[in-house]
Amino acid sequence: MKYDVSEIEKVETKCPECGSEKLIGDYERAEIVCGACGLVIDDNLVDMGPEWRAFDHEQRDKRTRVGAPITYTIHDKGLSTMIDWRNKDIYGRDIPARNRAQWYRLRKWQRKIRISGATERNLAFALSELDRDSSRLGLPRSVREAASVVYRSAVDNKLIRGRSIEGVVAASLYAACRRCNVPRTLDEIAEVSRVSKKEVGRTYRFLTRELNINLPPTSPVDYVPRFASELGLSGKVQSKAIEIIEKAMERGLTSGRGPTGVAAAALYIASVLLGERKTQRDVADVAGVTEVTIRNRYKELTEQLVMGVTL
Amino acid sequence: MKKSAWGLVDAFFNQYNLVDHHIKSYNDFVNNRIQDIIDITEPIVLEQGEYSVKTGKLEIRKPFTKEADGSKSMVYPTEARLRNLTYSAHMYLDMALIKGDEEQPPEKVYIGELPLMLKSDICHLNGLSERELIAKGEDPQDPGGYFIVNGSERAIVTMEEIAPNKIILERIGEVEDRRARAIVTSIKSGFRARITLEYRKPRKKGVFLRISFPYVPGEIPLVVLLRALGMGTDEEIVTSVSDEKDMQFLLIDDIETSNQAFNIEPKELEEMTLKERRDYFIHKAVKYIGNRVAKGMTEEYRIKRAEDVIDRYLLPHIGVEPEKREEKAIYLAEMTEMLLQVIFEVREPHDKDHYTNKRLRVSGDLMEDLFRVAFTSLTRDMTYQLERSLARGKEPSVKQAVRSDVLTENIKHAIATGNWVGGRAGVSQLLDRTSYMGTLSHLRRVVSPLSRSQPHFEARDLHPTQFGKICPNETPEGPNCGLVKNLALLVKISEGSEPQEIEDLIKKMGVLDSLVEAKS
Repeated sequence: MKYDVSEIEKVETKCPECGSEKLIGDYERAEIVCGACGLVIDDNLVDMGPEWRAFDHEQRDKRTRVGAPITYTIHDKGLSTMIDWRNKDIYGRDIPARNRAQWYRLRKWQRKIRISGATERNLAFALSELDRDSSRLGLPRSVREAASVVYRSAVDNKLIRGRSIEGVVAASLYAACRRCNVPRTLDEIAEVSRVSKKEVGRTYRFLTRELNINLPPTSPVDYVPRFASELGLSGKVQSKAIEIIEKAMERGLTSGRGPTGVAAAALYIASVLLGERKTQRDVADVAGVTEVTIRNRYKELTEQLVMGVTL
Repeated sequence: MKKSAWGLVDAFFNQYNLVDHHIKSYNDFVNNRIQDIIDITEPIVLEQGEYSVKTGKLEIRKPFTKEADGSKSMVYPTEARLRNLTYSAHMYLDMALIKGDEEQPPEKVYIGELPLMLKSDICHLNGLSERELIAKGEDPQDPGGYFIVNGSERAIVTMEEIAPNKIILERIGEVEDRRARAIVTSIKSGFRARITLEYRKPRKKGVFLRISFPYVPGEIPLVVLLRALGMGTDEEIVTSVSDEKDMQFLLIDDIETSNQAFNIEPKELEEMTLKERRDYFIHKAVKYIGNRVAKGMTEEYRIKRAEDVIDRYLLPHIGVEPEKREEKAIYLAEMTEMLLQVIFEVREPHDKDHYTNKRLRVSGDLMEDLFRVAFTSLTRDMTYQLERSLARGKEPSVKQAVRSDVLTENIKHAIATGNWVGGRAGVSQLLDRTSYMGTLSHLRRVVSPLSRSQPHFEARDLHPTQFGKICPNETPEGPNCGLVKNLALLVKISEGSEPQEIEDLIKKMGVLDSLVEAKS
């Protein structure tokens, strides 16, 4: 029996007997079982779900007592409430017309009260800028949340003073993209944000130093799918390019080289090899590098890796 | 004889899709009405005209999805259903920033995503053969006509409503009570105004005919409103309504009563000429309305606000310019005559369930309302962003100012939850996939906005005018009985058109303008 709270809370990821990581959750019997040896690792699991059932959307809306999940992308973390837009009281009756003006005023004031003071206002502004930038780039929710967290820790460590809010927002977005393995080049971030590429880079270096974020350099592999789809290359070309990059990384040809350049060159080689040839110029435009860079990388890669490429 | 009847039905369905009305309506919306909405929307103006943004043509591209790593791929409905994506198309609008006099070159800006209806013109599946559909993972028998939002199939059901811009007369209570009401639901560019003209015996002293319209609290006497619209003399009011002696006496009574409330000095009147007297009365009436609308403000503001309210919120479908006031007065006079005819039992009140007084709002109409509101909020957001960047001293850029999320989320949220603009709920429903017939039935449903808890006996009855249009048999049992209907088999719903075209045509053919005739 587990008595210590910390032991009860700990989440197991490996079977203690056979070491397999294949753990199966059987929620009907409230057990966690090892898929390899059959050992019951945990039982009497507590179901954290609701105590009611609902059979359609309307019922579910009526019974649920929770609101939206906490999100860091809103300045008050999504915890404040609004007066509902429907002008009905708790019984479903319409509120009388003479009170309607009062409700309208109450709604307005409730919205204004959400922001208490200058710090919150700046935070709200920054987060709305972040929202705008990430929607321009088409980034998923998870990246947006990560970027908001980075920005908030920057605020907590008083790193905003003396810097433009847009700059820090852009830098935290860049950091979040890298962390979530969906990197965006500094050029792309500078294009959607209102700050210059130089400032984003400078602020980013400052942030990583102060917040002790250690991000490994981006791998060229992360850029391949995006560039390939913009060039209209098939999945086969993509996989070949990734193969080339991996071989190059093994041989240590990529260290010290910009990842976008390597990715662009690998895609170029792959496109030539598989017959979906694109010009160096097209590839360079999409990747945001010069043709010279592609030529240089191309030379290095073909010299070191035996692939039988004919130009 | 029975066999030949079914031959007609088969021939009909060889040509038309079972959910044709949805697809046609949506196509009309996408091809014509979206562009109209964008053209009509107030252009963005900043800094008192220093800067403005001009909008051009809207382009809608075929649906694709942007993955997390940034790559783009064509998305087909099956993939959208499985991956919980939204099957939507990107919209690009030509916008040009105008600084002072010089106009910068227009650029195509991405403004947001529009969820699209399956098997419509912009859908990938449009025009594909049976084999091609199966290749794409679609059921070739699937009728289309619904949307895919966040992975779930949502059908926008047709809403049945009272015909807008038409005078509907109803009697309140019994014939002996001598109470009646005339209602006009006036709709212009998505703005709904309900104008109610009522005849009833006042409790203490007062007029019999009262009118109420939006943004004016309470009711005002009809004669005062007619005065404010330009009918200065008593003679004008009385003759424009009717030639019947009884009705004229009624109006004369009302005019007397309302004049008492004006506190008019008879001596003042004697000194004025006819024209001066007219203007005096008109001015008094406008002031009366001003008192109602903006109490406690300066007289100048009150008058301005009263005129603004009359122009914009009274009968907007006739027009919102001050020049249309005369036309509105004549319209109200006609309404009064009809109402009085009901009181004097010369005319029967309208049957609200008669299908001539009903219109069906199909998915295209509902999307139009939604898009109008979403686009207006996008414009407002853009104005705010541009003003902010100007305040910070940076050159405004249209591409920077656009937040595509505003439009996209607005439309997606409405379709996903069913809560439409204008306060309606349950407009979009999860498509019924119980069986093939269930799906078809769901897509051919017509829903009435009346409350389900009230008895509404007449509304639930099968009305003879529904013959050929609404199925006499298919209606649910229980609280929805008779309020939820289904379309008949061989039904085609025609799209509405602007009355302006027809007015111009008949004027050319020689029909006289009502205003000209009334004056002569």
